[in-house]
Amino acid sequence: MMLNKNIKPYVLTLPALTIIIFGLASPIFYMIRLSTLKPPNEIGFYTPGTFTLENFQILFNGIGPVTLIKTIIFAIEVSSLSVIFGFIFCLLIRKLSMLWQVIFLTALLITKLVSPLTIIFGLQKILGDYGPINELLIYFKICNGPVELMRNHTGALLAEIYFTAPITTLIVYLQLTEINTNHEIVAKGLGASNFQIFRRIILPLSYPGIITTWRIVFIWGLGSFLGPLFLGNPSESTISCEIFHQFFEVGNWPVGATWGIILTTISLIIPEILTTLINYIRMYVSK
Amino acid sequence: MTNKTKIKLENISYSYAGNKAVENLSFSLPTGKYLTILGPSGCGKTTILKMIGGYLYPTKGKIYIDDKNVTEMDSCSRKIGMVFQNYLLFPHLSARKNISFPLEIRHQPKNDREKKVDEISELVGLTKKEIERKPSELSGGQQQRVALARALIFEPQLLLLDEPLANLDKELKTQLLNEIRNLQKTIKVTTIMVTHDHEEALSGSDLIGIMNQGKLLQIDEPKIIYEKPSCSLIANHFGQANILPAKYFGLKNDATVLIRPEKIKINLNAINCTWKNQGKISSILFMGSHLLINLMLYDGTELKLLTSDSYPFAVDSIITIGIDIENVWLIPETI
Repeated sequence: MMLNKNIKPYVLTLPALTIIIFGLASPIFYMIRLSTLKPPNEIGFYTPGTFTLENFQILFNGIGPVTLIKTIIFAIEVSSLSVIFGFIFCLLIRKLSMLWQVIFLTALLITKLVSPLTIIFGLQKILGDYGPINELLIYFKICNGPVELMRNHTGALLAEIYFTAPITTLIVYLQLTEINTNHEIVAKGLGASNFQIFRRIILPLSYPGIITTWRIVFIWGLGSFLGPLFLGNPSESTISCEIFHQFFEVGNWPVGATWGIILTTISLIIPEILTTLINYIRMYVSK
Repeated sequence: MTNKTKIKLENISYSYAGNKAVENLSFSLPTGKYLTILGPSGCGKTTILKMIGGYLYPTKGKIYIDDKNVTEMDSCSRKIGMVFQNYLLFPHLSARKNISFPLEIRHQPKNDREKKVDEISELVGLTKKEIERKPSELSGGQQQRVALARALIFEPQLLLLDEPLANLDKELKTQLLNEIRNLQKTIKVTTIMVTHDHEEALSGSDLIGIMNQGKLLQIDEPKIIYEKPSCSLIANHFGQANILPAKYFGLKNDATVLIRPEKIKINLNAINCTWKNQGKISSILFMGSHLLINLMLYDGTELKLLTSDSYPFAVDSIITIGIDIENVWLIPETI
């Protein structure tokens, strides 16, 4: 079928634009508007027909700055540890036969098919006072009583790494399979040790994949919710927890929306800043 | 000094999943010599190179370098430079970094490294601008030069070239082959190259080793390989060959002999030859500097002749040919 050449390009892009505007961008626009409304007086969740920027003061007052910084640090921890785990896992399996590689990757990815709440429940049981880890620690007399493995920072971190590790592993694995293994053989022949091959060949060649993965997981980490909520303690509250708190517990939608805007903004800006910083460091080191 | 053996292979065998790739192969190469191993694809020549380089371990036999048994030694400890067929330059590093890689991992000071890179780059014909580029920004010939420089910069005791010119066009191939040979003579590094192209093998190699189905058929100087091949396979592989029964020349056995077409004399030149005959020209092929004549003798035997004679040969004309008996090579394999 011939396309009518008189149709302007913007007409052709209209269906896609409609989906983007109404399907994806409209909640953001709604959130922006909501963030500029005044909090509720006595009833309701906001004061309709008002306009204010006072809600953004949460960035400078009370627990706002702390929550913001804690969320960024938590996201850096989650993304970095998840990438390290994925990278090590891939390095370990890449020398195995294709069959074993598929088995290991499938086993890892299967966790993504399970409901996150089920995983949280499972982790609560495993990390709990009477869970298998504590039972083993006590059995081998490594400690006298149960160690607190959850309701703290470690618990929250473990849960989020559990959620993100399959994704990081898969992306890093795809990047590693792109590396020609003959380069390692050549490097060895030129006199490089295994560590030198890793540092000078494997690591730099997988760098683009690592950075891409890190960025994806970092954004995921900024939105961490289930881990901090169920396996962390109240002081581990992230922006997502704060949004949940404002929308569903306090009933202050403008402040919840403001946190949403802040989260979206830092999701766009921080990875860019950090990646640029890492690139500069890398360039400086490679010189 | 040059006669000292640099590398010796003793009854080397290698099998890939039960299939013998190399079988009971032995040879030695004196220091500073340039050996070309020639053979068809899959004959095991790259396997030999990989075993020498330490990338594969022989299933049987021993490898000695400077009289030291290196059979079990790791590739990184052998100090052997190798240029692979696809060059395998590190894509994330500039040509300069690729070349200096062996020195960097040996923790040589930066100034020394830079100086050496500049020297070797000049030697292999790379400009200062070219060595700052990434491999993807270089042509095939330039990549080949970078790979060569990388293999030579750490002064290897042995240089291995695995079909290094296979991906280049004919003109560039000839040019680079000459450059490699000159470079090898300049730095006097013992070199082993493998190729399936007999023209490459004949171009300046000190020695040629002929391989087929995992076996080394003959290893000798190019002139000897050409004139006195050990089997008819080699005789046919190198240029035009007339392979005839030995009894044709009065040699009383069932062997076969080789007569190179250019050794057959024609008409007046044939008068003093020990063996003479007449035949009819069945075809003439113009080869530029010479003619390839197919001749049918009266007894039905076909012969190929190469001549640069300006005589106006014509198809179906009768000519006299003569062969000196010293130019008849009794092929050992058939004795």
